Amino acid sequence: MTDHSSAATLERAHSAADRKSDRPILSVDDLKVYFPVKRGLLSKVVAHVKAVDGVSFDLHRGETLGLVGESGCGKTTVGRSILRLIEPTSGDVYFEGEKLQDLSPAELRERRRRMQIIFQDPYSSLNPRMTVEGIIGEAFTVHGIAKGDERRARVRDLLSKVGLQPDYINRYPHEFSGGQRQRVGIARAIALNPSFIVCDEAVSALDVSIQAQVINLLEELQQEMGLSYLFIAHNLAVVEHISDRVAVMYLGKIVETASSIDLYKNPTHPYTRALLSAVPHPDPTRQIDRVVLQGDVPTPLNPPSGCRFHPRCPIAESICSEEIPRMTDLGNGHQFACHVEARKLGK
Amino acid sequence: MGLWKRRFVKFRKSWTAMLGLIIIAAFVLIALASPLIVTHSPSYNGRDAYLPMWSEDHVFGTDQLGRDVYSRVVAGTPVSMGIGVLSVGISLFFGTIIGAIAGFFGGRIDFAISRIIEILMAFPTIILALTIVALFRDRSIGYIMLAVGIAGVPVYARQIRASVLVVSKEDYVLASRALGSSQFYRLLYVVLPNCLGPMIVLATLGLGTAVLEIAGLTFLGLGGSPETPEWGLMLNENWKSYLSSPAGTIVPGVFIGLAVLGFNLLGDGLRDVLDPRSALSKQ
Repeated sequence: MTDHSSAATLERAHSAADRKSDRPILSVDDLKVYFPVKRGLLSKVVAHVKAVDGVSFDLHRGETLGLVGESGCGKTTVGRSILRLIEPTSGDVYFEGEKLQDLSPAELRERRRRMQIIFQDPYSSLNPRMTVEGIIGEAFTVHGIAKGDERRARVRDLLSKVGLQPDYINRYPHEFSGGQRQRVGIARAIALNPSFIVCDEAVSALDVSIQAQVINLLEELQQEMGLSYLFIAHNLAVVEHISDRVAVMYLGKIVETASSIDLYKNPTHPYTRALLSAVPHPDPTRQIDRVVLQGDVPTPLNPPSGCRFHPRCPIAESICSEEIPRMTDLGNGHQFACHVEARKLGK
Repeated sequence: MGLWKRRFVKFRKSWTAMLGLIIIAAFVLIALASPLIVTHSPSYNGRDAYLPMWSEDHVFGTDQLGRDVYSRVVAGTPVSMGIGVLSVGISLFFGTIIGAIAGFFGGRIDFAISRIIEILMAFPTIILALTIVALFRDRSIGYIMLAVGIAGVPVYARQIRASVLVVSKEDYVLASRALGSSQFYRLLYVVLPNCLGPMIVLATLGLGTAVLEIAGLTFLGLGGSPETPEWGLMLNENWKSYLSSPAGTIVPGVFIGLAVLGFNLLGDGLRDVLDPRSALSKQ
């Protein structure tokens, strides 16, 4: 127990120091992930799926960054390539001051104690052949931290921390409900006392009532452990609730970043506006200008020229298909990439 | 525990699977009790050769040397089943290593292994086994076992590669990687245990084939000394007198047939409950 509390003290000292220097815990710079498309007998690379094409952002200690976008826009790939679960094609990821791309496999395994992931599907993310003790305790076994009774005690602690009965330790995943399984997944993610967690659609597969419980749990854990989250989701209401800042992704690029309040009050990029107008509202009499997008998301195999959103954009002009828009800064960390809106705002 | 209990409930509902289980259980009992239930020494040359079935003192008659067919076929059960199990063990052991490496590491290793497997699989297993037997000078039954075992490796390797490939893509394997486990750890403790179901099915179905192949090779006279009470060898010794004295051929033939049938029924039943790709095993 003593080493636990000392770790917590260290944690606080860490976070205080970081806040002072205001150095982000995670810094992503021009991240690109291209998947080669191979054809033929000799597996010649004929094209690339540009799943993530130049994504940059910072994440500070104790902060939650929401990452939203339609299915297939590359959100999940961003999360996984930050953790190097998918090797990025190019770009730098700095985590706690270290460049992750430069780490050897052994060093990387060691750093994984500090960065974790919670998966979308609470069914496929738990090993059906292991008991809860095995699933959560794997973290301790892999790093040689604890075994036997010590490991059991720690797993029991973690179970009560995520709101499950410690007596569930011998149960198998199929004996739990979806929400309970997700709590097991959370317990596994916090087992090694990380500082950063990628929540990859962590509540999308759950019932709405359970979603709220799990989100509350995530917020409590954040307070308690000083965690930073990259919260990937397609549900804007959930993201608004949990995030300090939100980044909107479209087809492998971030089109707008702002504080959560700013983004919802003052969405600037036409894509963000379309997304927000699609959020259902509990008041049926409320009038909203619904922006309905035409067509489907183009294939990332051959993304549109210029601004990738231009074929579906309601306000597109000729420049949009010719030039890739740069990020325009509105101050207060609010940035967006749109030619037309930038001109309107005189920037 | 929980998982296996539910599977057993499903297994019991299928009467073919249960029949297979009963047949195999009976063979295992015969094999274990064979020294107690034989009526004569399997190599004892009696006074009368070519006795028909249901003769006094010889239930299944005698063969051309006056040996008791019943005693020989019973004493042959542990031999035939034993070498079947051992040869499947050989196939499974090497097949798992090769298949797991190919499926888990992928890339060029997988490409090389897969092409070699495909080349070997172009030949029927029995031809492959014949070739391997021909390489050995010794003709004892152990070499037959080894040959059948080695000849089966490509089949097992390919199946296990496929299972490993499927399981490796699961989120819980990625989760284990995210925790910082090594590749070796993931393969051994995460991926392979989840391939256990298909492996059990493969081995059970493979036992039927192995028994048949071993009997085939010994029938062709490629191994085993004449006094060995092995089913295929008994067929080899007795088929020439089939018309005048069919018992010596029919009885070991029926035993081979029943053993293969039992393993196949059992294997099919196990596949229904263990193989994730079959509809019944949906969790």
